[in-house]
Amino acid sequence: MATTAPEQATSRWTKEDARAARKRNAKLHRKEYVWAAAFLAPPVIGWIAFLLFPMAFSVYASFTNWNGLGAMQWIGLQNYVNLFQDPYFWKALWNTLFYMIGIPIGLALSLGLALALSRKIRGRTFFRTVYYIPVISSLAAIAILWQWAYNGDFGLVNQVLALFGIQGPNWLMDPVTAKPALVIMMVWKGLGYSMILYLAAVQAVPRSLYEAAALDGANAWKRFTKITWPMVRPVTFFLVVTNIIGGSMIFTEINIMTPTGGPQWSTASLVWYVWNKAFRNLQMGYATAMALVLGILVLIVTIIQFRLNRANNFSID
Amino acid sequence: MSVTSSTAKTAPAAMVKATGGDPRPAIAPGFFKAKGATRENPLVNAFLTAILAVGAVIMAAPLLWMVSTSLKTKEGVYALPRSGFPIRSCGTRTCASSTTPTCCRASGTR
Amino acid sequence: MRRMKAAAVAATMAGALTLAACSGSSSGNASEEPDTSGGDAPNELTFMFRGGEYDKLAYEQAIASFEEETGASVTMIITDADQYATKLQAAIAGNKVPDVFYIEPGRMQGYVYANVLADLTSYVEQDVLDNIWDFGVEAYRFDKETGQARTGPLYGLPKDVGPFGFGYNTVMFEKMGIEAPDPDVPLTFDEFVDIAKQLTTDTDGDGELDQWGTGLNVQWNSQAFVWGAGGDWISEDQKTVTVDDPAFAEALQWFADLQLVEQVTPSVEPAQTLDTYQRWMAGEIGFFPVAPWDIATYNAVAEENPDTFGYDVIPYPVANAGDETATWLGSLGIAVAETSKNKDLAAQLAVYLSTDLEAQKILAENKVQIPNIKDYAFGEWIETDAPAAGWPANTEEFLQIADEYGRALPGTWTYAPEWYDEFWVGIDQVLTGQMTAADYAAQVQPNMQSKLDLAWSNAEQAKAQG
Repeated sequence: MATTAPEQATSRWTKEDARAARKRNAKLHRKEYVWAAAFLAPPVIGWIAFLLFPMAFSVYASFTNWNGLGAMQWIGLQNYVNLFQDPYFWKALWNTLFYMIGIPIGLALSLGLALALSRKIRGRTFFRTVYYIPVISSLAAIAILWQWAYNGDFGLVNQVLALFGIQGPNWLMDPVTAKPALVIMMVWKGLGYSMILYLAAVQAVPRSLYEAAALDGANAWKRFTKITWPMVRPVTFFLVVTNIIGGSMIFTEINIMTPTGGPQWSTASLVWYVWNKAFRNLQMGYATAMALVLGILVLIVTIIQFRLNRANNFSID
Repeated sequence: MSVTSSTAKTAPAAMVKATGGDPRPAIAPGFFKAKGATRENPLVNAFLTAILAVGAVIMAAPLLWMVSTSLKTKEGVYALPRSGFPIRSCGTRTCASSTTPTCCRASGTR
Repeated sequence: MRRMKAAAVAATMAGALTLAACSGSSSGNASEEPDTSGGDAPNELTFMFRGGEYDKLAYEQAIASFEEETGASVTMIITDADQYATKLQAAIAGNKVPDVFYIEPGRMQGYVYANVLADLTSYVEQDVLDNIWDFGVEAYRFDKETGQARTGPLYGLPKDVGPFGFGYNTVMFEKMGIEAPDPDVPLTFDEFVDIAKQLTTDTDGDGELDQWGTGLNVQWNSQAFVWGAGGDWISEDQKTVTVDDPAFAEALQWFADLQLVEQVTPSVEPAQTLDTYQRWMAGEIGFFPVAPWDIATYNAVAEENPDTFGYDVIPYPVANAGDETATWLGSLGIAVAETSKNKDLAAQLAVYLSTDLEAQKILAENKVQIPNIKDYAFGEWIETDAPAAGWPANTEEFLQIADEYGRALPGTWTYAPEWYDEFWVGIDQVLTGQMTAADYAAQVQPNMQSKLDLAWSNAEQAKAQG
């Protein structure tokens, strides 16, 4: 940034002026460049050392047979070929996608919460706190807690269902219910965070817009779809993007609640499978290939999202 | 979206009342604050409070359950042994993440 | 605006790909790590391990006297149990291998091939080895050439051995008027089911069962029964998966039938859940595993509820009278880095940690483990120290498991345990009766075999690459 400012300034002058000025300030400029470089160096070097190099390294590793300890053996695309024939990879990918259905559910619930809590409701501070508590709790502790809550024999969930005369399943041990059970837990855990962001966005919408719309005869639903929803769109976008990226990396809950990948591999996420391959089964090269495929998938999805967001840009003057 | 649909019914009614039949309504002082078009209906708020309360119970229940069971010591409560978290020597995360039983020992003595 | 978006895209990309980068280089969590690198000065050592407070206490004392004896200066690095393996791998990747560290037998082969572990054969006296459990020593032998475990050079010494024993609720047996099982002669499967059926009753007469014969987790308990019936997961040379053997299927079916047919276990799908651990301690389960790391907890429960819970150790049941009982025995080892600058001293420390009498006394007294050294375990400990510290009456069974009949869990002696994990993926179908054990075993065997073959070919590759 510092380097472009003088350039812009000189373009308005005559060439001579510019040349004179440049000469006059040459020393000063050089000094500035040095300082600029000095300030830029740490992040750039850090980026190269901690991001570019590891990334390049992992791309290389994905083309090798490597146990993470010894030397690497170049095997070309073999890892990728194996990957696409590995039923567990596809199963894990499907499971990871399945967990994403928690995102729209969570966003809808948290927007509803934010709308309700932005009203003058008695005890709203209390409610905001209660809904936010799971967010600040440790994920590992929460996972252990829910593992017990889902226990088929005496878990809280089935105790509550029993009050209504329902015999609950053994949630985490049944291939049909294991994934939904995890989704419920994730929504529960993430609700407060989205709620707080939405709350800020909802409260930032100028009241005058609602007043004007109301005077024009817009009903509450219209006001929601035409004012609130577009106005909180940046937050929605942010939450969708970060939730998809976060959701694609889901690991801790899986590893704690279903440490073997669930009955019939029903809960294993991709990152869990990557971890399992890399650190338990000494197939670091294969695991890296899998991680790269996941990274590229997330990248593609994110780019699509940014495109869509641009197409639907909403601005207000 | 029960939140918004419920306001949809009530808010316009309030607006009609406020504007009345007069084509050029006299704007009373404090109109926008006190009787604004988006004034909140107490009934809706009461309804929302009830829903929020139910939600709050659901949100807090697992945490409260954990606290309550960890306070009980007698038989009949299977959830948590007194040592704290229910880390069973074999079959929990640390153990099953590596079949070698050594991890069991580590978590068993934790 | 455009530029902002480009920046945002870039940031998102970076975020998404950091994941990929992390898994490749382990650099992600390097920042907050303690320095694990080995000592530089001739008397400096680092020791990286994991464990509970008593491990730490015992080793602090052992190391203090080691330092006094040898003039060494030892830095201890303790990590969380579930992070240890990843941290060690990161330390190795970063060329910061500690001088002395824990190693699991099941993970050792990769490390040996990568020349991470020092060959301790010439550093340890034979009479020292003779006094340690054979299993505990053999577990750290590995022959690089043939890829066979339990033979060849020595790459570590046991921190401990962990026998997974079986037990019963003494109080319940007494109440029900059932004769206590013999502490040395194993029950047969039929006798076991018979007793379990007697124990499975409704004690308070409310029409619902509230006491059961047993309730066992398939992943940690079926081994003993399968072995006790002559089956196994893998052939002796570790090259063939043998789950399709009829004896195996029969034993597994018997295990599943404890719930499906005999109904001597509680609840819906109890064999997979952990519920029974709590029920056992609440005095509702007759037979349940007992291992050294359980003793402290069980003793506390027994003390608090003496009228419902008491326990003792017995051998696991066997298929037919006269068969040999079996169960698994684990171990955690202490290894020395090949790159250590003070290998001799480091090897001495490993021996010290493994066999120092005072440290062993602390660990045994606090019910962390049974002693490592045979003469103490069979002598003073079993005679006086163990009873005094509250170990159960038949603690000797633990010693017999360690000394005579304990086996490693399947997968321990192979390069990677993926083939063994494969077995458990669909096991719920057997336990819920959707599939017979024989059908399941036949279906899963080829997949297991191909993963085992992969492990062997990866081992070959690791050997070639060094």
